[in-house]
Amino acid sequence: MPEVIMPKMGDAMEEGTLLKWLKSEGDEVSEGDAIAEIETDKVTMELEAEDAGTLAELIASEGQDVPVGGAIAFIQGEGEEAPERSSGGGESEESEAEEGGEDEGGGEAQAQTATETEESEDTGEEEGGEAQAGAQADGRANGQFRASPIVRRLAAENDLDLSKVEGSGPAGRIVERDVRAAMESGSAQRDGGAAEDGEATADGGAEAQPEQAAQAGIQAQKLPDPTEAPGTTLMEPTKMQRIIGDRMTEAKQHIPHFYATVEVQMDAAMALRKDLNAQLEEDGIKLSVNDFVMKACAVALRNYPNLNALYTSKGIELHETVNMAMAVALDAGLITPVIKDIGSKGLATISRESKDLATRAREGGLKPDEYQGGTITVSNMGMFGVDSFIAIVNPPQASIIAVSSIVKRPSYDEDGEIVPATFMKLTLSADHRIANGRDGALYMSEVKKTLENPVLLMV
Amino acid sequence: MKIGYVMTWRGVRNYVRNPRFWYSVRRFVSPKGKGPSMAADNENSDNGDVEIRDEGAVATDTDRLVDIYREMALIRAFEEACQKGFRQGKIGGYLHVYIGQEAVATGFLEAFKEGDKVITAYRDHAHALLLGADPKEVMAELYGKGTGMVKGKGGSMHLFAAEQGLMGGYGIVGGHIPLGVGMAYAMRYQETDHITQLYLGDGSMSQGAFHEAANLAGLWGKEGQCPVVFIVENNKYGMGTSVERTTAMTDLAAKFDAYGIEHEKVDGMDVDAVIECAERVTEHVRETGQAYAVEALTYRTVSHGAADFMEKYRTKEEVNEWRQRDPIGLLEHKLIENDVLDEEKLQEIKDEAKEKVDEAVKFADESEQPDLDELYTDVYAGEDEYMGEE
Amino acid sequence: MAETKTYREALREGMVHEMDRDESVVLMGEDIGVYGGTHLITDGLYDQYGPKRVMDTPISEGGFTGAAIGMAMMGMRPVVEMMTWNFSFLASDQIVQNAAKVRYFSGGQVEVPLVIRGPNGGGVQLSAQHTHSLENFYGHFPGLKVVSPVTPNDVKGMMITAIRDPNPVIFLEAGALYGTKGEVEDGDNAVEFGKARVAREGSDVTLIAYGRQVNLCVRAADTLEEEDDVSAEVIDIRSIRPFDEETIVESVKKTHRAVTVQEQWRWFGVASEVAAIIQEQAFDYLDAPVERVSGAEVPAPYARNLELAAFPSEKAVANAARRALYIEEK
Repeated sequence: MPEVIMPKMGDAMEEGTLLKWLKSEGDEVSEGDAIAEIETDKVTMELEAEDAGTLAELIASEGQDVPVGGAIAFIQGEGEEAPERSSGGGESEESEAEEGGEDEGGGEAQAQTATETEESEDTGEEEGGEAQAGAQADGRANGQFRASPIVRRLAAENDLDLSKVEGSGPAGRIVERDVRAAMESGSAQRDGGAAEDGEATADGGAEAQPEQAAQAGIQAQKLPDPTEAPGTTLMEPTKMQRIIGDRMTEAKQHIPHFYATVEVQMDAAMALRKDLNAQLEEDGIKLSVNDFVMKACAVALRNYPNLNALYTSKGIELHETVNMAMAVALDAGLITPVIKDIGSKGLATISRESKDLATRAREGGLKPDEYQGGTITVSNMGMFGVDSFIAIVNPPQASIIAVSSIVKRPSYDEDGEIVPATFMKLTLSADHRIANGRDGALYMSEVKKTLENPVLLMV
Repeated sequence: MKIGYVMTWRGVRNYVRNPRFWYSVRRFVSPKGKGPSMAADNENSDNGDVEIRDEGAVATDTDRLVDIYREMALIRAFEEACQKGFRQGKIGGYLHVYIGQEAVATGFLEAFKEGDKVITAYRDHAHALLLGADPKEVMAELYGKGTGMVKGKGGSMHLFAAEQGLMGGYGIVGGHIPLGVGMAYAMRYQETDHITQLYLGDGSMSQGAFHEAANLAGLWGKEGQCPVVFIVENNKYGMGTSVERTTAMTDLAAKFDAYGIEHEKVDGMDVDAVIECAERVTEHVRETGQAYAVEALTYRTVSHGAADFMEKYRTKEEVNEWRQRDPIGLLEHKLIENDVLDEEKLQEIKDEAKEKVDEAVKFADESEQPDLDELYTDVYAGEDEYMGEE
Repeated sequence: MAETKTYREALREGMVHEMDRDESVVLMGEDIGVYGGTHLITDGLYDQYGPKRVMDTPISEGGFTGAAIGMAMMGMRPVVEMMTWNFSFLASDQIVQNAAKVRYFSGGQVEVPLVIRGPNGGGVQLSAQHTHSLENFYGHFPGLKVVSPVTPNDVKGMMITAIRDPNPVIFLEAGALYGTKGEVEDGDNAVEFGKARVAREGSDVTLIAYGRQVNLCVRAADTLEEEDDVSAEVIDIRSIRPFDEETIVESVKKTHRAVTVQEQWRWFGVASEVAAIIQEQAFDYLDAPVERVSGAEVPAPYARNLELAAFPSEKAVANAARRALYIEEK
C-alpha cells in the first residue's frame, strides 16, 4: 500500500510540520489531489497525493513534526488491505511499552522477587524510549543522508551538521574523507548548543569534549534559565527562527566578513524611474528603487566574478550567471526568493518577478526552487527609514548588499553651489576567504557609477 | 534334580525349555519370587561356551560374599530410587540404570587395586558407588545439585571420581574406548603396574572407535605396553536392537581375535563367577601388560533408559526368565544354601541399603542448585580458566 | 640470538625443545617415526627418542587421537600428528566430544594437555577431500584452543606454548609454507596464545588474516602502497581461540576500515566472526562496511587455474581494501 511521506523540499530540511489535513480518513483521493498542508523551515505548501485510492490512515496528526521520509498517511488502492502497523507516532509505542511492562509484571514476576520485577519494568520503559529515539534516527538516515558510523561520531564530537556535507560514497554515503574536508573548511559547522538530536550523546561524546573544543573553536553555549519574572512570556522559537538563527550564527562566526559602504546620488536614477514608470503605466508596471539597485548590482558584477561566488567543500565556485536573492521579511522571519539570471532580464521583468516572488513569499506559497540557488543577495531596508545597515553574508554566497533609505539633503554641485540632491547608502558585506577588500571597494564604486549613470543599466 | 557344573548356552536353552527344569527351580524360589533361572533363547548358536556354575557352589570366601551382597543391594536400591526420582521429575536428561547387571561391575571391581583406572559408558552409577563414592554425592549429581560429584555439570552419564579411579562415564556409545586404551598405555609409559578396566556394551562393538581402539590395544599390548581389560557387558540389546540384529558374528568375545587379544566369557549374572574371572584376568594383565577381553553375559531386566518400549523388542516371558536369574536373587540363594545368611538377615541388609539411599535422596533433594558462577568454570584448565564472554 | 630456519625446522625445534625438557611429551601419528613423517616434520626424531616417544600409529585417526586423550588424562603430554587436518574428521568425535568437554563434564577433575598438529589449508592442488581450513570448525568448541602460526618463529614459539598448555590445542600449520624461511629465536621463545601479531603497520585500512593468508595480505598491502598511496596495516590473528579482540579493535579504531581474509568458505567463518567483533566494538569508528575475502563456495578443485580462482588472491584483497576506502577497484 503506498505510503504518503514527508517530502524533502530543501537540502537542509530534516523534518516538516503537518499543518492541516485537507482530507479525512476514508476519503477517496485522486492523483494530484491536495491532501495536506505541510510547513517546512522555508515554506508552506500543499502536499499532493501521488497515488489514487482511499486515504486509509492518517498517521501524523495536525501540528506534528515528521522527519523527512516518514510516513504521514497511507493510501489504500482497490483490493488492498490496511497495514498491520498502526502508526509511527508516540502514542502506539507508549501503549506497546505498557503492554511489555504488564507482561513482565504479570508473568515472570510471580517467580521473582519484587525488586527484580521493578527492575524489569524500568528496563521496559528504557527500551521503549530507545525504540523511539531509534526510529527518529532511522527516519533521518533514510530520508536525509547516509553516513558511515565514524562520520556520525565525528559529527557528534565536532558538532557538525551532516546535512551540509555532500557524500562521496556509494548512494551518496557521507564517508570520513567528506567530513574531514568539511571540518577543515568549517562548512558543516552546526551552531552552538545544537546537541539536541542525540548524535552528540553517541559513545565517546564525553571524552571527545576537549577535541571538540580544539577543532570547533567554540564550546556549546550555556544558556541561562528563563527568569520567569512577572510580565515575561516564554516563546518557543519557530522552526524558521531556529534555522535562521543557526545559519546566521554560523555565518557570523565562521565567515571572515569585510564591509564596504558607498553613498550613491540617486537623482538620475529617480528621474529615469519616473520617466519609465510613466511609459509603463499602461502595462501596469511600476519599477521600484530596489529593482534599479538589483539590476545595478548585477550589471556591476560583470567585472567582479569573485563576488558572485559560492564557498564550497571543494573550493570557490565562480558563477557566470547572477541569481539574485532578495530578502523578504515575513512575520515569522525571513526568506530570500531568487530572481534567476537577473543579468539577462530587463527592469520590467525584474520588477514583475520581484513583486510576484515577494507576494507569494509573504503568503507562504514559494516552491523550493524559487528560493534556492542564489549566488548573491540584496537586502533592502530602505522602506523602514534606516540610514544604513550591515548585513550578514548568506552562506555559501560570497556577498550581500544592504540597501538603506533614500534621503534628500543639500549637496554641492560641480560648480560648488549648494543644491538639493537625493542619496542612498549601499553597504557590501563579503566573505574575505573569497574576495579581498580591494575587490569589494572597486565593485561598490562600479555599482555607484552605474546607478548614478542609469543608462548603463540599459546596456 | 542336579544341574551340572559346566553347561553350554545350548544346554542351558534346552534345560530352560524342559518342564523338569522349572520343577527343580521352584524349590529355590525365594518368597519374593526371585530365584535362579537360566538364560533365554540365544538364537545364534555361535555364541560359544560359557561356564554356568551350580547355583549352590561358592568359590568366594563367604564373609566377602556378605559384603558383596551389601554392595549389590545398595546399587539396586539406589537405581530404584533413581527410577522414582526420574518419574517425579527430579532427575532430568537421560537415565540408564544397572538393574540386572550388578554382578558384572561388582565382581570386576573386587579385583580393582589402588592406582587402577576404570572407564565406562553412560550406565555408570554402579561403578561410582563401588569405587567408594558417597551415594549422597552421586544422587545429588543426578538431581543436578551443586553438591553432586561433578558439581552438577555432567549428570547421570558423566560420573567421575578421578582420585578413586573412576575416569568417567561417557555418553557417546564406543567413544570412550580409545581413551581407556590410551590410559593403559600411559600406565606402562609411566612405569607403574596399574591396569585399566574398560567397560563397554555389546552395542559399542559395532562402532569404528571400538575396532580402532582394540587394534591399538592389541598392538601396544604385544609390546607389554597396554594393560587394559575390556569388559564387554553383553546385555543382549543395544537399546532396543538385539545383538543378533546388529552383527552376523554374535560371538562378541571372539571379535578380539582379530586384534590379537586373548579373551573369555563369564556368566555375568553370577557374581561369584565374575570375581573368580576378574581376579585371574586382572593379574594376568597386570603381569604381562597385554590387553585381555572378557565378555560378561548379562541382562538388563529393566528398560534401556528410564522409559522405553520393552515389549517391542523383547517378550515379557524373556524378561521374566532372566529375572529368575537375577544376580541378587542368585546371590541370596547361595547365601541361604550355604547357611551364610538367613532371610531375615538378608532383609536387614536390604533395609540398610534402602535407608542409606533414602538419606542420599534426602541430601540430594535438600542440596542447593549449583552456583551460577559455576557455569563458566572448568571449561579450561590453567590460569586463563575462561575465555569467552560471561 | 636468532637464525634463519625453515618453518619445518622451526616446528621440529619447538617439539624437540619440549621433549628434552619434559619426559611426558610423546609424539604420535601415521608414519612419523621410521618414515620420518610425510612432511618430514619429525624426521630424525625416531632415532633420537625411540619408539616409545615417537610412536608410529596405524591409520586410525579416531583411535589414536582418542588414545592420546586417555594418555593426556593420565598426565602425559602427547603431540598427535594429523598427516593432514583433512583426516581429522575421522577423529572429530574424539576431539569435540571428549577432549574439548571432559574437563567440564567431570567438574574439573581431569585435564587434557594434548596437542593435535598438522598441515591445514590448501594451495598445492590436493583437490576436494584434501583441502580444508578448519579454524572455524574447531574454533567453535569451548574447551579447545586453536592456533594458526604463519612465521617460522611463531610456529616454534607457539608449539612450545601448546605443549605446555594444560588444555587440548588444535595446532593448524600452514602446510604450503613448510619450506619458507624466517628468523627464529634460539631456545625458549614461547609465544603467548591470545595475542595477535601486527605483521605490518599502517594507518588507512586494516587487513586481518591468519595462516598463509597473512603473507597474501602483506603483498596486497605493498601493492596498495605503490599503486594507491594507501597505508595498510596487516594483523596476523595467529591465535583463533583464545582470540585477541583488542589488537584488532585498536587497529580499526586507528584505520577506520577493515578487510578480513580467510581461505575457508565465507559462511560462518572466522572472517565473519572478526567482522562481528569489529562492528560490536568499533562501530563508531568505521567508515565503511567490514569487507570479507574468502574462498569460493565450492569443494576445492584440482586444476591449477580453478584452484587459484577458488582461493583469495592478492587482487581480491587489494580490491576489498579499495572498496573500504571508496577508491576505484583495479
